[in-house]
Amino acid sequence: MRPKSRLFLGFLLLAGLCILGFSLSLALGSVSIPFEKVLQGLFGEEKIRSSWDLILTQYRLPKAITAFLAGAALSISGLLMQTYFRNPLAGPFVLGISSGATLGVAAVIMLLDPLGIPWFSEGLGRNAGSLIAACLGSGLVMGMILMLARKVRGPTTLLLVGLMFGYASGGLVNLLVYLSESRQIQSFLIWSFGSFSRVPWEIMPLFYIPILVALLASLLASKPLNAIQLGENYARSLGVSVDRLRLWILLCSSLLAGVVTAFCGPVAFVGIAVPHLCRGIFRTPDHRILIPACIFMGGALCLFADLGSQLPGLEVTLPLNSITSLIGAPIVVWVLLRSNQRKGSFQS
Amino acid sequence: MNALLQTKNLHIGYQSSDGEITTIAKDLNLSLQPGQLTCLLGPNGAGKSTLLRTLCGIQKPLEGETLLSGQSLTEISPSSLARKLAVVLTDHVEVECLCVEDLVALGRYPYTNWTGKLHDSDWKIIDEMIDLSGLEHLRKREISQISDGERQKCMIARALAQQPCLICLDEPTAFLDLPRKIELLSTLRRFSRETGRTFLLSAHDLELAMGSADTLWILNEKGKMYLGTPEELVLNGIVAATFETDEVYFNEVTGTFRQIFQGSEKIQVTGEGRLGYWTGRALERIGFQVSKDSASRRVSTETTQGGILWILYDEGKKLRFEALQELLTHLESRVL
Repeated sequence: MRPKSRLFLGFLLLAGLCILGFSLSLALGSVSIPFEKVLQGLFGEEKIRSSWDLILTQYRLPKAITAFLAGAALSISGLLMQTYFRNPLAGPFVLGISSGATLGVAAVIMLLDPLGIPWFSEGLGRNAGSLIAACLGSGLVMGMILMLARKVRGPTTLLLVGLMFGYASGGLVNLLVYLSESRQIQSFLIWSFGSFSRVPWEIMPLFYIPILVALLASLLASKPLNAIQLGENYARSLGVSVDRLRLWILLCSSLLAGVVTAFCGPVAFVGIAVPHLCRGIFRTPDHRILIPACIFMGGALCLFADLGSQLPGLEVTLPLNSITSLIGAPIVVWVLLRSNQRKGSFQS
Repeated sequence: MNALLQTKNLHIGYQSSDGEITTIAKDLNLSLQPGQLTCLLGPNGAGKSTLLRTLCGIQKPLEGETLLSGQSLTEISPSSLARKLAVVLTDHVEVECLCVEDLVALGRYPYTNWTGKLHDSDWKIIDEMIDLSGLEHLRKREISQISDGERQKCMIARALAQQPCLICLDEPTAFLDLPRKIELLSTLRRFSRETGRTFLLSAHDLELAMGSADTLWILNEKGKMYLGTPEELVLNGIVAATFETDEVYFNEVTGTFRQIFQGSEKIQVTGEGRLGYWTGRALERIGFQVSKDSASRRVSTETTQGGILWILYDEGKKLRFEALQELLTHLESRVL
């Protein structure tokens, strides 16, 4: 296929997926709303039934936006890590970045909440607190991984280091759980199942502003990201300020992973899987294409994952994290098998 | 002529993680003349890569400085340095879905705007470099699907697309077979003549380097650097002193390395030109010390109508062999 037509068809496919996912997540749920009524409710002059209107504008619309942005954010976070570490298996969840953010949120729920500081215990302040704590946690782990990455050789070692960070933060979280009251434990557990419906309109700015800023910042770094794929030495010889780029990647990827984790819980495997799907569709390493592609692909994937978590006919909502793991883990296995095959064919 | 690259009292080495400093070479005052091909040679582990990486600014010197066109490397901004100096390293490059053409196109990085958009003028240069490097038939192939040698050529084409005045290459011939090595070096030499670019490369292969370099830099294990034309360095014995070991000696007449066999039998070889030379080589290979002086054994060669004849005079006996292998087998079983 010619590159131009592949590009066009690829983005057409992604746009179609996003529109489909968005429409379905507005129409489906415990109460089904006919699609023409959805359109009417959102754009039409005529009023629709007020209960539908409430569900649509106060619940499903913010949830769909949250799902889309969360998917986009996690995917770009994963793409940045895979590019910088030159490791196809890197991602916010695998490298322990999400665990760092989880630790931050756990600290807020189990250490700060019981103190009952007025401004901090609910609403905007409470969410801002989680957000900052999660970003500190993800940034801390990402910073340590970046430092260690310069000393370790080989892609597998880096993953093991990330895994250890994950275990370490998990251990601290367990410690907090052990020492906490059941009310806090319950609220932590519910958070940790993951959900896209925890960002109502009033706190939406806390969610979308940092994400949009970081997505834009990543897109602006497309050119040096393309060069860093050759490795730091080659990138430097091409004129890339590698230290600045490393800081840029640190800030963007940990902010993206941190924000999503703070509001939606630890969402597994989206960050690692989506960049591979996009490379598979577009057959290019060019970040000017991959970044927008990952934004739409990740957004669509999370919209569908969210639909999957509230299968029609089921009364309960399934934990989101289980759904993304079920979608993502097979993709990761596929990537592993494929890269093994490719290496094998050259070694023999 | 003004030197393109110059070092002033450069000390090279590295600092290990526990802070210990290892100095490889001190007080290096080197210079590169524009348009020349310079080959950096030295025994394994002498620090060729460290020197090359220091000269390219990838690694920091312990002391001293490197000047490129009279300007200190540390004072040149990364983007303008990228327009003057390109490198080809031994770092493994593996990027999924990256095709040859796009890899070469990355060489235009220092010249494009923040979006990295390539103009027609950029593509003209990219096409030219792909053509020069003989990669035309591979241009749409992914770099994971081509051989190591071809990938090396891509990296060189990419360095050329950067249009620098100096290109430093670390062991560019490492992955190639012998004819490709010779081809690559003569191509680089042709580039240096035709484009006026300066090349500095490190190599393992002394004989090869002597055949194509304008200047040799020989770095020995003690960190001492010798500079000169290849022939000069042979004539004043520096090549022999640097590379000879207990088991290998350098033949300064033929310019080749040979293995030394301890306590070997002497044998005299008489015969015309090629025939005498290759018979001597064969006898050396199985462990004789070949000399032109008379010895207790002598092999004489002659060309007859039926082919080549080898005659062995051994303690008064005279044995005739029609094939070289027969002579060698006889000598190996009787003498060695």
